[in-house]
Amino acid sequence: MERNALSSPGKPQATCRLRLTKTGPARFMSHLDFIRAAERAVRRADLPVALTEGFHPHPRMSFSPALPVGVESECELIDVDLRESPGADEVARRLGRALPPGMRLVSCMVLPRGGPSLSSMIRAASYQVDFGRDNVAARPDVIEAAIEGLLRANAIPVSRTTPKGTREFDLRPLIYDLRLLRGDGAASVHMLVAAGPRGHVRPDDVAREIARRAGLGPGARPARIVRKEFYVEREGRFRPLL
Amino acid sequence: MQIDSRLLDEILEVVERPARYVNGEWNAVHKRLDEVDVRVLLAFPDTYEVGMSHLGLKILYYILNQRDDVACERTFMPWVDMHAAMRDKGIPLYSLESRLPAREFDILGFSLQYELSYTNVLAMLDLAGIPARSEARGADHPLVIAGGPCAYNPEPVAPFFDAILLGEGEEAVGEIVDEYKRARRESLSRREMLEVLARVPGVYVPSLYDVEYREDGKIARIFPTSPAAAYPVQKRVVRDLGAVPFPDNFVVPFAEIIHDRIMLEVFRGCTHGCRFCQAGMVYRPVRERDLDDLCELARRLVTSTGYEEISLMSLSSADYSRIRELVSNLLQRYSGSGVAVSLPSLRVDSFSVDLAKEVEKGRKTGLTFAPEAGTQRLRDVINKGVTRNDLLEAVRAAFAAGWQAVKLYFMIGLPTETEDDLAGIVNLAREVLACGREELKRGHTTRSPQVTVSVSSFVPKAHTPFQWHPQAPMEELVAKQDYLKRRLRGKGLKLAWHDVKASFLEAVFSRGDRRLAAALEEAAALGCRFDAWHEELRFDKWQEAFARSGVDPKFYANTHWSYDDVLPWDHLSAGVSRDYLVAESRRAAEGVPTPDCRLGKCVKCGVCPQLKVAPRILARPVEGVS
Repeated sequence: MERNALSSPGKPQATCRLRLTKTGPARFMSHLDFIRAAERAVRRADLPVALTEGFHPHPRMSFSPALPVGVESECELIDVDLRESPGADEVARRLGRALPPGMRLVSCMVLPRGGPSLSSMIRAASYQVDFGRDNVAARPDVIEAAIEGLLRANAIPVSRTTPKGTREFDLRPLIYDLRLLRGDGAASVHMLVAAGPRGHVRPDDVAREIARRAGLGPGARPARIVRKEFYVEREGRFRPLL
Repeated sequence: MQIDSRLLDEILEVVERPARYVNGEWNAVHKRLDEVDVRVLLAFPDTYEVGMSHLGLKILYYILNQRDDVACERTFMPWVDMHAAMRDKGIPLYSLESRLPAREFDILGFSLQYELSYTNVLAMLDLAGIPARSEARGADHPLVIAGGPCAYNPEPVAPFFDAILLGEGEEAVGEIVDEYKRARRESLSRREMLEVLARVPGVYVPSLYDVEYREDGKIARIFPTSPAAAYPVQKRVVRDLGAVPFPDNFVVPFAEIIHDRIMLEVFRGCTHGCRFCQAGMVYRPVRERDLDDLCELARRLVTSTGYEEISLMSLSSADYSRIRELVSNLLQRYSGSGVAVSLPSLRVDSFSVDLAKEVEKGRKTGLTFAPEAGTQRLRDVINKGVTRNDLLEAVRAAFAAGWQAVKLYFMIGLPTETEDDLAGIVNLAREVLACGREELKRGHTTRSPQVTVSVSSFVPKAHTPFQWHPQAPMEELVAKQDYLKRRLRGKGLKLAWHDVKASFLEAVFSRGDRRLAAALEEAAALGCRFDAWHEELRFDKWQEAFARSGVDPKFYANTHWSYDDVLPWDHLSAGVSRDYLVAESRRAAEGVPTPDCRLGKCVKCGVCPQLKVAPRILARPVEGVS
């Protein structure tokens, strides 16, 4: 019986760190959908991926923190453990042909084994929020004033409803940076917020808070939110992970 | 003309599970629609998650898109919130691939899998801006056709379809497209086109038949009104499944669907001959696929989809005569690679449990068996060739192998059922539970067994030996459910049951005739849709719809019909002869079982001579296997 490249668990020899987009139709995938889609793409790419132990082995992959449904991303990070390394170029070549629309491979690097995991490193994430050209109320100066008000606030209480109940927490200490991007008329906001052990900020929570303070009405939604980058913390400063 | 994509994208930001309304899934086929001759839209009258789990849709999508002159796209019934938003914003029903309005297609093909999806067909046509009735459509409307198991009695929806295909579509769809092209090339009128289509074997054109009724409401006669219309229309059947295409790639959805895995059809048809089962009658004869073909298909599908599970599909996969070889072959190839194998339907015997043990390994969530009736007498009536010993042996093997939960399927309201038979369900469930306690104790585990009894209500179906039988009145079914609810209590026992209202509607439409079309239109106008979804079924509206249209639903669901009556589907043939159905119905009344034809003796059901086919079974049955 022939055995294809992915047919034996084996010990991982290398970890491959992928950076993918999650845009267009892919933005509607839930985190679980995204994980499944990535696992299936890796299987289609016939990468020599290491498998987990147990009765139902699956590819050893770890993912950057979940993205809310509808939010786009330019930096979904995935660590894939490989039994052998075909080299970053080869991984990129094979995977490039196996990804569905909206999930585009941005970069791919092979890391030595034993390095820190994504979840142990990630401390913050940046997002860009576009309020859209059509939203006449969302003039740049209005949005800027809302941002300033938000940064001056001592506390920003937010409630989140989950199946386990409603939870209240303060958003303010988890917002590290917030500024208006100078563009061509449409209001866009750049934000750097906590992601990791200190808390995980949903960008849509912040966007909603800005919209509320700008008087855009309770139903106002930004035209587009994009996750731009993940950050580690080194010597008290946030630096891009990749 | 495209739909307003920006408006649609805005809606997608606010509806539940938007991933089911977008294009671009892996393996979806995008063609330039202006470069093909015929644009076909496959329409499934239920949610994306349900429709995309249907193998028939995958097969037809694949076959049609293999043709250079055809582009085949998909559409589904938008869920309640999306449906409301689309109506509100004036977005018509559209295809996923090109976002083209449904009414711009040449052919709109509906899949009719269950009666309770009929109002969704009307809702989809309405959303598409296409008149519901065939007679109201003209040259600028798509040809609206249908197929699927409901085609064996499509009479309640007959006025809505231009043509309906009986039986298997692999070969017939191509012929329909060819004839459509020819009719268009020759600039035939709509009526002429339908007559051309009616000459394609298996194609039923309802408008070419008339029905006369008697004073007592029964049918006097059904007759063709055109020389092009066959009487009866004979179902299509593929002689050799290996000779027609089976998809070597499936669309892999962005969001999880119900059966989110590789579906490998190991054979078609079933020879057990359960007398209530329509699938067992209409999909005859049994045709097994070659072992090598299956292994090769599995390999190609794993590569093209990346799926992590291969499900061996059929009406009873343990019947596949080379199932052991198939399972061990697939396990050997894939067990180390994170691709699992699963068997969705188990027979009630220890052989099946052994197979399940082999494929399921650690994932011992629960096994399901279907004894269907509580006593040997009633099991003989329905020809379910399963004994109490078979069941106890099977569950003992299951508990011994480490399963802790067992689900048992039964039907209530079967012909001749008495209280003894209900008591039999209770007794069997308790015996199974006791058996589980014993085995789990023997296995030195502290876990306790769980037995779930799931009861559905008998629905008489066309082309079965029970087609003349009424469904028990709703009150009686409720009383039977209550009987079981009172007795199937206590630690380790659980009872699940179906809504009798849904079963009643199913019976009405499964034995319905053309007069029900008006009731369907009334129900749709009153807002009925997603009737198969418990929380969406509006029975009060249905009652109003029946009253308004002047039809008595009980005439269809709860009346005993005689062998002499003209049945609404008498002009349609599934190949199984009327004589066989009558004989089986009489044997049922006497409690005489009929053996499986796989064992060697022909049961004279009529399918093989009628359709000039033969069963295709790879290996002779082995002792204890069948």
